[in-house]
Amino acid sequence: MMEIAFGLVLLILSAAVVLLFAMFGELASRVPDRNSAAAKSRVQPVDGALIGRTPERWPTSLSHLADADVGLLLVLSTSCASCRQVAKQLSAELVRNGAGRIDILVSSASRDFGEDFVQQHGLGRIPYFVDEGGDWVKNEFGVMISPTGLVFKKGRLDAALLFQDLAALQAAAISAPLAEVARR
Amino acid sequence: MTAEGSAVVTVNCLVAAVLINAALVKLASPDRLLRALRELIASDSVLGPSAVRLAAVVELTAGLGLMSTATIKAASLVAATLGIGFGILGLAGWLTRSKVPCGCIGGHSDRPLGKTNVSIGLLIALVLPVNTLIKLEPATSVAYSQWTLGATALASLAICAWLNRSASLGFLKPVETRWEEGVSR
Repeated sequence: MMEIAFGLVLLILSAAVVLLFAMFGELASRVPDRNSAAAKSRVQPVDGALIGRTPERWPTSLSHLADADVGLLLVLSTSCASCRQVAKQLSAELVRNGAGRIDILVSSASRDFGEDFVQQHGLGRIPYFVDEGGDWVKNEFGVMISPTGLVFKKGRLDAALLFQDLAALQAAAISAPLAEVARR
Repeated sequence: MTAEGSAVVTVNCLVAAVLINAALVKLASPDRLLRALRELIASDSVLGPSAVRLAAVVELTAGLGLMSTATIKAASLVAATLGIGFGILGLAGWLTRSKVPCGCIGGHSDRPLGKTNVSIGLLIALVLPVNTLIKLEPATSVAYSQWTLGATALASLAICAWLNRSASLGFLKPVETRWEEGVSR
């Protein structure tokens, strides 16, 4: 009888595992595929971003954004996979069309990691700021997620957009109310 | 246990494991099969999740019934009927070139109803001739249940691991390659 009881317990446990995987599969089928073309081209506002805020202080390398009619700052992080993809896209964009007016902020645990990220992707030609710990962008704009595109008008944060594809971000930034980005 | 008895245990364990896996997944997630069936019969008025769950209960009962000598004959008959049903559905999906993933046998792949279902349906149906032609001695009934319970549990886990291998392997990859949007601090 003990053997039958043991077999029964084993069967119940294996059924529980099967059921767990079934529920996991059901859950996974309800989550949009991050790698799909639709997901990659999606651009969405960042929750909690301090839209309308003008920062108290600008890092020296980004100070020109304070006076620019319109500016686009890409917030990247050394710890996110999508940011590396964006950095590659940006690097390719540099080769094709030159630097343009895009600036980058690299959030990193240390300055060295941030500098390595910039050099590794050949982004040294673009004005950049390594934000150690992401403190500046978090305190000034409430942004704690990357990759994010911050659109400024005369130094004031006009939009904060989460994105995965640089072209999709630029297209979204062109659309109203960010039409000036296209005309700058 | 004799060689014939071992053959019966092996066949019944495999069929029971397939039926139990398929039933549990249908109970938890009936929508995939439902979508595939609706594509096949081009109607959404007859079938609902409760119909799929009812079929799952029948599958589960047949699978569990195969593990006791007292219920093995009736369970074989039900399992064979289900197997033929799977085969017919697979054939229909194959002929109509079904494209909707069916989530059959507990899988979450994108494979629609087709040849695989025909093959598995026929293999499940084989349980009836096997249990009819090979008679187990009454004295072996306790040993039979001991073996089938354990072996079905292991077979069920093996099937589950195989069908979910890509999802499981995803967990073993480094976090960085799965994490798409990193928090900036």
